[in-house]
Amino acid sequence: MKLSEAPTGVQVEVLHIEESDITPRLRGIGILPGIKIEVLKNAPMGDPRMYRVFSKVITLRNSEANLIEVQVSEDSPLPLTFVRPGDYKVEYIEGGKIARMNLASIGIVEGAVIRLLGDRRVQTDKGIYDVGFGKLSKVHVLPMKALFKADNAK
Amino acid sequence: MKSVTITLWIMLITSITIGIGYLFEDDVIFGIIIFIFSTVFLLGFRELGKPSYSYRIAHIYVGSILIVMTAGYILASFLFSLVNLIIGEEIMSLKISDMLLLLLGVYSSYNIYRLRKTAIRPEKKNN
Amino acid sequence: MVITVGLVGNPNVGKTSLFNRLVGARQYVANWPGVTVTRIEGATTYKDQTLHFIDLPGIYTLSTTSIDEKVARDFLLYTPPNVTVVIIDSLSPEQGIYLLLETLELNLNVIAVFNVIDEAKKNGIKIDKSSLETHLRVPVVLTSAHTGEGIEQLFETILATFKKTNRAKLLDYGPEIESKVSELENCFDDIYNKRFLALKLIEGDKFARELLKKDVDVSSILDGSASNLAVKIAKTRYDYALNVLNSAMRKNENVLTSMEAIDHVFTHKYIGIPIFFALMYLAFNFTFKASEPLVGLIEAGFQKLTDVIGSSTMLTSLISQGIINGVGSVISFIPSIFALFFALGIMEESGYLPRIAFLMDKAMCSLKLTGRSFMTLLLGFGCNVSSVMAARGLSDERERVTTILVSPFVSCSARIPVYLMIIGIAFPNHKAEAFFVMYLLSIALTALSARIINKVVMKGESIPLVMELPRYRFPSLSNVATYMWNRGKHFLQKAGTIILVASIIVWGLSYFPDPTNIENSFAAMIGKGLQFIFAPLGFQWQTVSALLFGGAAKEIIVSSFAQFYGGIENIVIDPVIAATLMVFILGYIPCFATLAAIKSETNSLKYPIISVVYSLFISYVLALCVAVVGRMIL
Repeated sequence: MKLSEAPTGVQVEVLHIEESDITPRLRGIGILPGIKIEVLKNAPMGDPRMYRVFSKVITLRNSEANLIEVQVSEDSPLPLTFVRPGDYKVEYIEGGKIARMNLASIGIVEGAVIRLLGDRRVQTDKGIYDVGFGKLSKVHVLPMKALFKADNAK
Repeated sequence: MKSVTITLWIMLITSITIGIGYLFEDDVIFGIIIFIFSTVFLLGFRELGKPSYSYRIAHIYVGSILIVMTAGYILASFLFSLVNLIIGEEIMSLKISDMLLLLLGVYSSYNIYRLRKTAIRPEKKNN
Repeated sequence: MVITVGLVGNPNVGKTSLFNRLVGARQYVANWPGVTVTRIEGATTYKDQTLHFIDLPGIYTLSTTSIDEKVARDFLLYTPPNVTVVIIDSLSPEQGIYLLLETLELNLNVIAVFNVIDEAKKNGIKIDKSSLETHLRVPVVLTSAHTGEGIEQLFETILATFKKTNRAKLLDYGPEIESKVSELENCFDDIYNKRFLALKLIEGDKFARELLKKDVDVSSILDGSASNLAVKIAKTRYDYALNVLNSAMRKNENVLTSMEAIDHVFTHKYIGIPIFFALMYLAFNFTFKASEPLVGLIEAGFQKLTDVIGSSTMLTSLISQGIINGVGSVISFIPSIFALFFALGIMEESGYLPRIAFLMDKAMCSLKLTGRSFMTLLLGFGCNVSSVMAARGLSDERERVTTILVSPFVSCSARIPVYLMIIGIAFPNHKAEAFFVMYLLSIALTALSARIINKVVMKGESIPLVMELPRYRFPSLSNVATYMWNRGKHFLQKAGTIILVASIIVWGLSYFPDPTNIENSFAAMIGKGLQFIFAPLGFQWQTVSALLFGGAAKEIIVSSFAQFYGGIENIVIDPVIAATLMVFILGYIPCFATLAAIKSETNSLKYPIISVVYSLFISYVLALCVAVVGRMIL
């Protein structure tokens, strides 16, 4: 994934930086392979965006952020629309009462374990549902594997 | 959580009232400015989901800062107009909306003070 | 004995405020990166030693992509100071330590200063000084330029370090890189710091390549692996920095919560931009409401003075009309100028400006300018000369020239009295609105010109934006006052020099050859002679002459008007002509000082000439549009 494509609010880890004129400056700021970056927010038109590198807040245009290849950190919750099919635990739901009620009626509540199927349908305790894109993006999840690892570490 | 929502409502309603007041006093642009600032409170209600609590506080905090600045501007203009006494011209007369805005400014500065003390400080985020 | 001390650090870590503390200077400290584009020097004495301080531009690395980075690097490399102070932000020290490690490779006497220690303490960050000293192997001082903490100790440390001869040990980058470095070291002459250059060469710095011995080919040593090694070097430095901090610093996670809260609203998706415009409007309104009484007071004072002196003889006429009326008409607007800069100062001080750059970047990007050049242009509201100079900090040559060429369209403080005078006469009921519109128009004209210049003069692609957003801080009154004074004093200086001289010349031209009737004066002859050019705009001869004299400096327009009509209160202009006139004045010609700055910064006569021709053309066309449309409406 490119840094410019990472959703806001998640933490990503830098994998690789494409060489360009500004690479020395990016290195100086601390954008290096292995470093974690937090995506903070978008400007009104979605470009540029704010990132946190260590404790400094910097802005990068998407054209520069495109040079940076990243992967989402394992312990960072992601919206359901961003993840691969698999088992997930719902971390939190970003939405009002009505959205929460609707999601709860099909078994998606905070803390529940759900399975995302290959055809983008969601399997919960209550059955298999076809959930709209808008609602899916409000559900932030963590993969079960990462949770398992974290528990072991404790 | 409840007190946050109540403060939001208070700030929203009073600031809109003052904005309408300015419209009636034929100070249209200033009224619009107050409306822009009141949308800060209005959009505070849109902050839902998990971090909503802290973001609502952010809306109150910044909205209050903006109101304090506006009130400070009225106050400063009034104080400077006292110079007019030296050359024998009239000083600026404060209208009802101005008075209300000054009062809201006082309340907002109390809000800022309170939030700085309690809610907005370096604390650990819980995600 | 003079000890030279260089101050190096990331942008916005408080280098300039520390510099002010150290030498007691009054450099304005902006809360946004890139204020210092050239080095600033100052001296002080401590314990019978003369300390010569040099404040260098803020940088992240000693690799160079822009001119301000080059200024800092060249200084350290070619004229190494006796002591180098690396200033590190206590709240975000990682990048600072990276720079420190790079500086250490230059083999200098280095002191590490952890600044803003007061804020760090407030945020619950604990810094273990002795642990830092052991790991970094340089003296460490904890300071706060704000409270003055640690300044005395810094002086002591500078004296102690200066005497020291043993240098700190450098980082080891591992066998692979070290072997390459020792190979490459042989490719440089002995006069340079070979290890530093060898590392920079691996890091891909073009500048190091130019310093190679003439007939050496490094491509065999630097085969395809260079970019990999460059990453490894940076990684080694950062790993070291993080290790040091891990053991020496207890940090509270997420210290920026209150900043996030404020940023959340100020850079809000929907209301961020409306808030910006509302605040700007308030600032302009404040300029009027707050300063109006004071302006009235000063005007009344000068009026009394002229009445007392009278204008019966040539000498009294020179004093009362030429000097008091001419210069006084300009000086009386000083409260307005200071009020405007007070309001802008608060915005800048609080750290709000970079957020505007963030919000507006998309729009600026379509004009092929970055948020950074937007901030450079904002400097132009004080004086166009300073924005032309500050354009040095822009890394891209094309962007730099574009910024320089469009700077004159930013409405500078010299134009404020002119607008105020015309607005006061023609739009007494909508002062703030008219003033605000002029500023919007100025921004629109700047944007339009940037677009045109990019299309016609230069072609290229968009420029990267890597900008740090500083923390918000509560604007301190003394800092805002310094800002206000530094921006406004320029205006006072001009009033005493160029405007005084010009007023006397204008007086001479309007007094001779017929003191009784100004219609027969030389000024009237000149104005009437040129009036045909401005006939479509409906200007009278007074306006034409005033515009001609105002080419040197815009304030002279006010002083000329005051003299031609015998005082500002006697002037009558109808709203359409007033609007036409203001639009024309907005752009018509850069003042002499700006033209000189453009010439020296671009190093060619071509650009000043382009600037004059273009601005005359575009402002004439715009003014004509206003005149035609205005007459149709009214």
